Amino acid sequence: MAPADLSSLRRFAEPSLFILSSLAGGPKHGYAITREVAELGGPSLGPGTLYSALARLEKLGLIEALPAEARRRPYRLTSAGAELLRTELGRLARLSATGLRRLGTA
Amino acid sequence: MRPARRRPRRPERRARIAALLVRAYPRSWRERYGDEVLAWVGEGGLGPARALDLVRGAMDARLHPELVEKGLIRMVERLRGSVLGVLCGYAVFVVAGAGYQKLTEYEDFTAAANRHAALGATSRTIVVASVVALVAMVVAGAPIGLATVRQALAGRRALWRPLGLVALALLWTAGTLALMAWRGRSSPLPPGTMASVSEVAGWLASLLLAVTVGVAAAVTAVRRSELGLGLLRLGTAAVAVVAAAMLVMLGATVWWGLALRSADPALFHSHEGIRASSTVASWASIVALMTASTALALRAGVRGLAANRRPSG
Repeated sequence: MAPADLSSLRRFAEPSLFILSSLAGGPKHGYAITREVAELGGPSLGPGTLYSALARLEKLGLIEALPAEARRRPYRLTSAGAELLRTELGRLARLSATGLRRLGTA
Repeated sequence: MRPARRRPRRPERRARIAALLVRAYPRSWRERYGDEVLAWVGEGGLGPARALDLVRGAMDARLHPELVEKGLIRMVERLRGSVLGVLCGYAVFVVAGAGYQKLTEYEDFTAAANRHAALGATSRTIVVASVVALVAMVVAGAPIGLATVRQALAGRRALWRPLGLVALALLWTAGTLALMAWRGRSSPLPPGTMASVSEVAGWLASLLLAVTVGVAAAVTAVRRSELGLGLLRLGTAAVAVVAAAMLVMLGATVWWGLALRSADPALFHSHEGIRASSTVASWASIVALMTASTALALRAGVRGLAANRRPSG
């Protein structure tokens, strides 16, 4: 069953949020995800961290693997993954808006 | 002076180190993600930080084995093994079946089949069961074969060589059969002579080589390909039908020999076997080959059906 948020993933929570955001743009294989996470300003994902996070997201039903192309396998967001991403980004947007308002920059 | 050993180039060295690090992961994890990690390293490179990240990943995978669905991977492998086991058994059975066809095509046997109802019934049973087996094998094999070829065309290099060998084996078989037919029409050697026996042995060796290479290459290709659970479930159900049809054909072949012995003992004990050999020896050899191949196929088929009944989660 999909969790309510990503906090249960502990040190993989932040990479997972970036991975889900990357997959929101369409299915991608491992290295393409790493590249896009870096472009989004996320952490530099090594292969060990990336596949540990992907295994957790897959297990939770937030992403699913597509048939492999040569040795690369694309992943895509499931509807549960999209729902959770929407919730997480909404929470971050509210936090961002509140913080910026208090700083007087919004 | 000893020649300097060639140092592997950087991408090769990188791939070797990555393969070594991936071996630190649990087996089920390697089967699921190993190829992908190696492809990632092939594109992104492998410095000390990334190597360390892989080591941390391996520790994490060992601490959390529940992350990879071991049961699902084992099930996929069992279903694949079932399909391949029946395929191998069927290939051997076809060779034995060709021997039975050759044995019973002689005039004396067709006349005996017309005279004795039991012999005629066994022949009809074998024909019907062989058609059922062939159709079931096509149902199982065609989608798997197409999926494998599609993956090869999409760039899965590991499939190119085995699929090339399958194509070569098919061409070799067709060429041998065409040459045999042409030789039989143009200048057939009198049966029973040394030259004739050598020629037949040559044709048989050629066909057996082609079948062995073709089946081995097909097995390798299917083992290396990525097959969905649905495709394997269908294949397993279809090959179970093939195994059952093989059992029916084996029973009918045994019945044929026993019926011939009671209906026409003189013909049964004659030398009307394959290439004028003992009829009993020819029949017994065919039955032995069919029994071994049917046992192999039934074992694989039953294991596949047992795996198929389990839930996939």
